[in-house]
Amino acid sequence: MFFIKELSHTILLHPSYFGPRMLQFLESKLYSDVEGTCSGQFGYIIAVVSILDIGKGMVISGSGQAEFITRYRAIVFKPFKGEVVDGVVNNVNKMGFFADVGPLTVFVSHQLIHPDLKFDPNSNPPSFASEDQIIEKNTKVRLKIVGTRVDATEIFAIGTIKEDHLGVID
Amino acid sequence: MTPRLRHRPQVEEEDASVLKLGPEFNNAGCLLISEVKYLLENRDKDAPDTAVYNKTLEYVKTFAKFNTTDSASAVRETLRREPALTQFETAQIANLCPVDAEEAKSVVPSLVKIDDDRLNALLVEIQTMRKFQT
Amino acid sequence: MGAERGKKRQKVCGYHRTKRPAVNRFLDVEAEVDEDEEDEEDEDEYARDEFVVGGEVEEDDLARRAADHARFDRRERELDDQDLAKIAEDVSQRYRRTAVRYSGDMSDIPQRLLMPSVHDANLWQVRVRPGKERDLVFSLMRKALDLEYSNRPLQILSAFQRDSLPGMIYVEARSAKQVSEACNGLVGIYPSRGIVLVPIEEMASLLQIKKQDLTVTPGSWVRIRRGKYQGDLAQVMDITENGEEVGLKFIPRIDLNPKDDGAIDAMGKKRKKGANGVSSFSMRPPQRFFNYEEAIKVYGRKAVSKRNQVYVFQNDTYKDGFIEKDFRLTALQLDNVNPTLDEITRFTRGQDGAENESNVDLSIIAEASRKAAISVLQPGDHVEVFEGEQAGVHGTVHSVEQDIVTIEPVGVDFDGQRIQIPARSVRKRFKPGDHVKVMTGQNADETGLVVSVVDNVVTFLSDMSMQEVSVFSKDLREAAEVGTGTNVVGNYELHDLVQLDLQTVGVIFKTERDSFRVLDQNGQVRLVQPHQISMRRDSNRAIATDSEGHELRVNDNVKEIDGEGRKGRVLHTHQSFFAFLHNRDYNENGGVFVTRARSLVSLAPKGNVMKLGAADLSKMNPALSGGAMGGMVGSGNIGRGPRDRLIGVTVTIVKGPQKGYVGTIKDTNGPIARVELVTNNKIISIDKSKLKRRNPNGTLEALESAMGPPRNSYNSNGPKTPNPYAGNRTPWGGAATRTPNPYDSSRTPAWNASARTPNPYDNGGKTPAWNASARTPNPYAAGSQTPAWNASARSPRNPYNAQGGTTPRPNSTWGGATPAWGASSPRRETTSGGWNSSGGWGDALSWGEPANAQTPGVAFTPGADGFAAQTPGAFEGPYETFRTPGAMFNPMASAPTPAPQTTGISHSNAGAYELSERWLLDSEIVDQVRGIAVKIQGSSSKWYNGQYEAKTGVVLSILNTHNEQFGTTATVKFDEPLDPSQSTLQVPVDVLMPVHPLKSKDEVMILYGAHKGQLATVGLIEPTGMMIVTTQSYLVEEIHADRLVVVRKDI
Repeated sequence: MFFIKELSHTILLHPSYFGPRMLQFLESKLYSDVEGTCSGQFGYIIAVVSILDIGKGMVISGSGQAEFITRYRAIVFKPFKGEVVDGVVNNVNKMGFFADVGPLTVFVSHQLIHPDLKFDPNSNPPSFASEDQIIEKNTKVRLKIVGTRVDATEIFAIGTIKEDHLGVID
Repeated sequence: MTPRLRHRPQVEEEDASVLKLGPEFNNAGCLLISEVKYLLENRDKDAPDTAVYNKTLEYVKTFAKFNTTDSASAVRETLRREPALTQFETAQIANLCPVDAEEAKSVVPSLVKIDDDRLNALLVEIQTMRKFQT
Repeated sequence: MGAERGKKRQKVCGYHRTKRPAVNRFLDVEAEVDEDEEDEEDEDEYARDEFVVGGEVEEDDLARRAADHARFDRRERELDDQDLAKIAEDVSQRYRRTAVRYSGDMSDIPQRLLMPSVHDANLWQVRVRPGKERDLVFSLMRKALDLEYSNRPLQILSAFQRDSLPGMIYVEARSAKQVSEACNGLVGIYPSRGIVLVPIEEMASLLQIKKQDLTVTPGSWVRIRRGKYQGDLAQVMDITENGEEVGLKFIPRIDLNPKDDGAIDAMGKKRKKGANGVSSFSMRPPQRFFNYEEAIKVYGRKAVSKRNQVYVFQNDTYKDGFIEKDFRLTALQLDNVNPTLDEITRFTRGQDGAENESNVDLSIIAEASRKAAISVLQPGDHVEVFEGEQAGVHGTVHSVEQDIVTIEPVGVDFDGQRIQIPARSVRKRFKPGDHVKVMTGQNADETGLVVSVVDNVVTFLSDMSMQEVSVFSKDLREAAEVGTGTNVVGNYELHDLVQLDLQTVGVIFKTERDSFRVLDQNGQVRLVQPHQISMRRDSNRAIATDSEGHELRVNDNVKEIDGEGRKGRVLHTHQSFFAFLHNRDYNENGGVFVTRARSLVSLAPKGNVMKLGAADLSKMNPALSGGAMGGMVGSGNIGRGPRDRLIGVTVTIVKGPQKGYVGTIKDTNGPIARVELVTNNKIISIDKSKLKRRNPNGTLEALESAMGPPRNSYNSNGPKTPNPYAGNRTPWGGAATRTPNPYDSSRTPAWNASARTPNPYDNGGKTPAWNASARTPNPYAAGSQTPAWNASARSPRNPYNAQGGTTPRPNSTWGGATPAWGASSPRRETTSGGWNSSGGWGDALSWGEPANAQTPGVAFTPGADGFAAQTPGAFEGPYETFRTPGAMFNPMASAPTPAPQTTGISHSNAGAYELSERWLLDSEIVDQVRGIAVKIQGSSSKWYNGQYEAKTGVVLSILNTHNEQFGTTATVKFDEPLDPSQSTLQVPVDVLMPVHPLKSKDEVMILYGAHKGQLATVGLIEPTGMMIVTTQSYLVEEIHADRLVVVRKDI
């Protein structure tokens, strides 16, 4: 699910950056620091929409660097267990397939694919197929996230299409 | 043996099917995919060249159901008429566009609280909007 | 024979048995039975033989019967003979005892009565080598037998051991001393570890025999306790009848890389010993199925023999790749075997890797795993009940009490109830999507997301390998991060830098439910619990430098330059030495590794920072404008300029409370230096001006005198004014000038050029400006009164200004007046020294103004002001008075002298030229003063109120008073006297200055140098004012016009 969320980020600025272009620098630094990152708490930070407050620079004694606690509003994406999402199949192997849901990769194990859909090792590209459906690279699927693994820099999820209204979508 | 942990932190398990999104997101504003698409495409700054950004952009282009801001906000307006809907449910309905109440309740289990008929009416309206958006 | 005897014996036994009822009639029943049982149990040959020998009459059945009858008759007779009272007593005694014994509670009372009391001998526990208990008990017994009839028989009463209590035996004795005497000399007994008295109440329980729970059945799993195969899983094949030994089948560990001697003597004792498992484990070969080809390749064909389906190798038999071997039960671990799925699958797979499910008894595994499951349950675990009444219920474990778990079931029917379930009936419950972690087994520490659960086998997708892994649910637990969305345990988070103890810090690379795996700075992995962490460390502001000396910051992307060349992102730095890096591509330690900061190099710089950073920074940060720019690599953090050359310099403190202390400069910051004192190892901050450089020989000199870093030149020049003389910034160092310099190019040629003519001012020729002024069109010439004046006036200024401004000599030193001058004079000597010392020529400051107007160099160089102010009128005197330039040019023009005289040049370079006020009185000159051309200078206050100022004349004679009171005067004939009638006047010598030659062929006297006082003729004149003169003794000398005085012979 995409959210719009207010977040904060702390920037340490070296004294040599103090000056007329400091704000500009802070902004660029904020963008480059946070956009595209991922944390367990907030998920993927996709883009900063606006900067709410660049913060007061507090010079840290000892190092001379200034600490800016900036607040900004950003589009974040965080997957939840139990959430149904659409995705595009990225990779199929005999264990299941991987689908891209935005920045997130979701693995759907063959155990969580309806048994009618069988892995066809001879197909090229590899696919799961039944009489009327086929899942191969670039197929759009609707899946339900059953679990997520979150670490410092990445979220990984596994999903299922073994339920009603899930599976290949047009 | 492994030492016992007496006070195991009882963390609320996140589960979207019962609308448990964790402390950070329980009340956060959800965005429709269409809105994300609009925001990303109308960014006044240079697009950051990150994998996350690019993948997301591609994703929202693929799955945006409503291509104009008007239609997206119209959908929001429509769904706002149903006060029981949370932000999350609203976004899920608009993103997934289920055709009927049964499908809606299947993909968004927390919708059980809403009467089938009312839900159907909303869904039909959204389908229509989707069909006739310019 | 043996068989025959056995047969007989059997017969005898049979006889005994048939006989028994008859004997039973008599009251002697106990004794009879006792003896009989003993016979049956005792399998000792000796005993049997004795029995046979003892009962020789037995051979004949009749004879024996007769003997019995005889005995019976005898007993009857004896009874008859005895006193009836005595008989009664006997009977009563005998029956009283049995009556007591069998009355009342049948089981308890006799036990209680048999309990040892304080009057009995004590039981002593003795520590022995584990596994040797039984042997030692036998040794004790043999020893007891051996010494029984010696002088010192063993005093102990008994000894025994219990299998359940490894490492100890028990000895019954009256005192500990007796025990230690008995144990003395036996190998494997550790009396030093104490001979402990067993409390009386525990003595009986030691001897209580619990019915042995013999769980060993063929097909069950055991682990080997000791030896080479320690910890290995084995399957029981058969059990010997006495239950002492079991035949096991397990995967061998054959050393395929034996030591040389081992290979030669493959069957030797050494090897056998190794196979028995006594060898060290350090080189334990891996588990590997026996392969005939491999074995003979290593050990030779002879080492392996084949019998039927079985290979025999090193006294062990191998079948189907497994080793089959008998083990004593005591050497096996029967409980807690806990075989893992992969161990069992290895067994099932067998040698060829083919699945043969048949020979694995899965029920045994299931049983074992179920047992183990009990012990791994923890409160809070999700479990489900899979058997019994409550099957299907699931919930969370509330508490565990031995084998009973209390669970809080989930579901509408069980609102708030708790139910108690045998632990063996529940199993951990996982559902797809759970993030789990394997606790034990081959896949230990693997984490992943559950994709399916079938009974107690859970399949999950490994996070690392993206492969599916199946494990027993008992080996799993939910990983901490699931649900919480973070990797936080306690106050610590994944990738935190934590302090473990005083010396050790580490980075958390894995979080478990209540512990962490931490990689410490030595590369060791530790399992720590939150309470073992003393604190979290913040390395955000820690500074370390990489291999190129650039700053290394957290989150920099770096690469190792040596070793494995690993890349990674800096997580933390520690003590500026260790860097903890992270790279997801490495599986080891969760991608975290530790390396030395010094062996890292920054990867490509971060694009965005460079976009904004570099250009601006250079302007904003003057310190970086010089060479440091090249160093702006990396993460856009601020690079540091080259190391201050003062760092590391040994200095002496010359002022302040620490005066006299010696130390080393550790760091500098502007005017402040941080000095590590030698005396007390302290680092103090001190003003640089209080420091003096200490040379190895103990002498002191100014701190920033020689070889200063170029950085100072920037400071003094100011960043915005390019200094045309910048090229001179390290003139003393003799280094090649580095920036375009108008004078630079001329330097060497000028030197050469000046070398052509002997020049007493030659030392000046070393300074580029001096030469340059001579060689290049002089921009100041037009504005100046005389070319000579310009040449000389400008040149000292330029070299000094340029040098002053650009050399490390701080401005303060320049401004610091005379001492500074003095201090620097030795150096000047090698360069342009003459000019400095010429500062003494005059007092009045007048040259500064024209100089400012004419020579921009003064304005440019910051040092100029101080210089001008402090060295007043350095050149004013001689030059201002040069009103007759023509005269001076003449000798210069006319002095054509060829070859330079190197010695002469160097010689005249050596000394500074200083014309004294009373030069005319010089001993070399005073005798031949007649004819010397002079001019009046500085007479304004001394003589005729300056009316004769700048007049020229010729000295006729000198009246030397040798007295300060009466000034020495010279008789001077003026060329243009004020009063024509009186052309000759007495003039104080103080105001007389020499008239320097200006044109060729002038007759001159040399005022300075080796040829002082000699008359000469000017030959060639250099534009610099240098003149080649030929003395009367036909010596050729190159000398400056200033050092010559015109001599007129026409008077």
